[in-house]
Amino acid sequence: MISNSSNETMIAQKAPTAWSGLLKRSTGVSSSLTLQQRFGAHLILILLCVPALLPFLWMVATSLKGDTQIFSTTLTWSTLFPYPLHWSNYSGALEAIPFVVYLKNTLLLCLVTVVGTTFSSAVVAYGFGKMEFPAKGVLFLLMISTMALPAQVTMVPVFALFRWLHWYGTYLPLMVPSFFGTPFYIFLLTQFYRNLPTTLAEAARIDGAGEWTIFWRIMLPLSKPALITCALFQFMATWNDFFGPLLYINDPSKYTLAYGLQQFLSVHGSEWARLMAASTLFVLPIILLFFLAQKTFIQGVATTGGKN
Amino acid sequence: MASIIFSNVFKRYGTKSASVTAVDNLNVAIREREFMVFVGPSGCGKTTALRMVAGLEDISDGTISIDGLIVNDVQPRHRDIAMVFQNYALYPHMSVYDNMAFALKLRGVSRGDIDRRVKNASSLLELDLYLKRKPGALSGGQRQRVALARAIVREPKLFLMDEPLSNLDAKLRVHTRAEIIKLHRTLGITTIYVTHDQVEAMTMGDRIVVMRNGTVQQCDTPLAIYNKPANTFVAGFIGMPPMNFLSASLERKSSGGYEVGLGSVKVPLDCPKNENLDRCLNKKVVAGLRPADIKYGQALSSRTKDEFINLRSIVDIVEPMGDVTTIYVTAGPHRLTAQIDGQNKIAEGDTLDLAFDPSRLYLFDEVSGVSLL
Repeated sequence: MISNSSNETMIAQKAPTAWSGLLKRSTGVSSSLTLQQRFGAHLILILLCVPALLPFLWMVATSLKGDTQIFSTTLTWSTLFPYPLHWSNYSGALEAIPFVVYLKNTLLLCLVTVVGTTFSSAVVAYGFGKMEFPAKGVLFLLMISTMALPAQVTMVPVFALFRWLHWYGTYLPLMVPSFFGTPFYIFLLTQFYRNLPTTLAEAARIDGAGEWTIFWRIMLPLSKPALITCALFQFMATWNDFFGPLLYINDPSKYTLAYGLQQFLSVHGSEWARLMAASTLFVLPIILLFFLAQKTFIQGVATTGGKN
Repeated sequence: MASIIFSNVFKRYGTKSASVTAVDNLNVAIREREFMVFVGPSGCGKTTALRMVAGLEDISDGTISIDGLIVNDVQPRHRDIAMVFQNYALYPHMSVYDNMAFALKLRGVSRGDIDRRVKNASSLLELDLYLKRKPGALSGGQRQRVALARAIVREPKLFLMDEPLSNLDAKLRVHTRAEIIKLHRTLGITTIYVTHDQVEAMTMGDRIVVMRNGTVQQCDTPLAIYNKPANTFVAGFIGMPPMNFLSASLERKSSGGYEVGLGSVKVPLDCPKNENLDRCLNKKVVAGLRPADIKYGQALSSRTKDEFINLRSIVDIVEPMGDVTTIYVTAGPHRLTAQIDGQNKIAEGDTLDLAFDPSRLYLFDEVSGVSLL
């Protein structure tokens, strides 16, 4: 009993220290700041957020305004916090354009390009990261150097090529290239594969696996964090892509959301409130996705740096 | 069970003009069911030799044959071997069961057979409770056992082990060492075991290959290597604490025979006429003396006292280990390490009368380091 009670006392004495240590660790730098300093730091951070958030807030505010409010020249509180709220803009936006059709088209493109890009980039990256072949260094450099080429430079010849293939007006020009890897993702994944222990591949080789089995059953499952990062990047890129559909899609029933939004300016005149309502609906999934996958996203980028 | 023959094997890295030879003319024959240990310091080529057997490294020159079949161009998966890696190389995303079953699945073994073999191997290595766990949830020792089980389950004709105990703590290393020996006795599978630890080599190997700079220094049974080291490198590498090397001179006794001069001390050699010794007469040689062969106190009986060579020494450092005590002493011009009974009460600065049996003295050529006896 004596030893028990003395143990309890010891624990009781140690507990505050342990907790404060934990708190210190969890709060990191902020714990070393005084209340005023912390307040100041937060104020600066909030002010820095304003330029980034303002266009977004303006969009949301405009999506809830009536026409008179939109064109009001005076800058008041109601510019960002309108009253009354015109929720009807949202239903109007959904009726004005075939939102659901565009959403389906966009999701289809996203699905195909995400799967295609992630998989093809992983295959190429595995080759660069874990296999030995002649001129590997030169080929890798060549692949990286294509990142420096702006899309506008290759736009005309690529367009001519797809037209020659009779792919104009179809989704093929937007889908097929994704099955040939994307330099940035290849670079990202190559770094990841380089850091995976080679002995895993060697163990599998001795176990009887061929190169494809090693990739498919050992390396691919292990690179999940990096693959998710690539998939998220690609999803956002396809979701936001305006340029691709603008070049290759001419049938309105095949429009994507990003491209379809422009109809508020062209077909229905300049319906700013509805355009902003549709835009808000358009960015919502991206924001939700980021918040849901924030941890994976950041972890993925961090792991691609090199964790064994 | 397989026999392996290395025949004039070379491994070179780099270009022809600037190549590094990792393995230099390796000629070793490993018998069926033998436990062969490759030992040597880092960079001596032992792991490269093992990886060449596994098929993970190309052979620059020479041949390696398994059961009489040259395997230079045979893929690793077709060599019927299993390997245990230094870092275990367990597949982190698979359970222990799947890690063990992976190779069998790839070979198209039936599900029932896989289950039976995995269960057998896991019970042999006491892993039954961990079959559903991922390697990340296991301790170092358990991971080591899974790596061994993964190799066993394949029922290969050859085991390759690349420093499998080096990541374990000292106590667990001793325990696992015994487990591996037991496993070899049970299964009788030919094993090539690579280590830099001479204790592992001595305790585990049926025979030992001592390597240095890509070349074989000696290949023999542990005791033969300990008692008759081929050169100063082997003599210094095998045995702990390492052998003492003393500068000496070789002379002929007036009564015939040989005599080694260790400063003022003359040590008569009781050995027949020897060409090597004749060649080194009146020249400098290196004398070797194992720390365990230096005696003190009760270890010296009245009879041995007369036959032994006395070395008056001053103790510099004392390292008590309990059963034995290692002392570092200065005896005239020589600095020596001696291992004496742990019950002796010795302090630094003490003057001791140490002695050694002259028949336990080793002699080596001063230039080449080759044994003269």
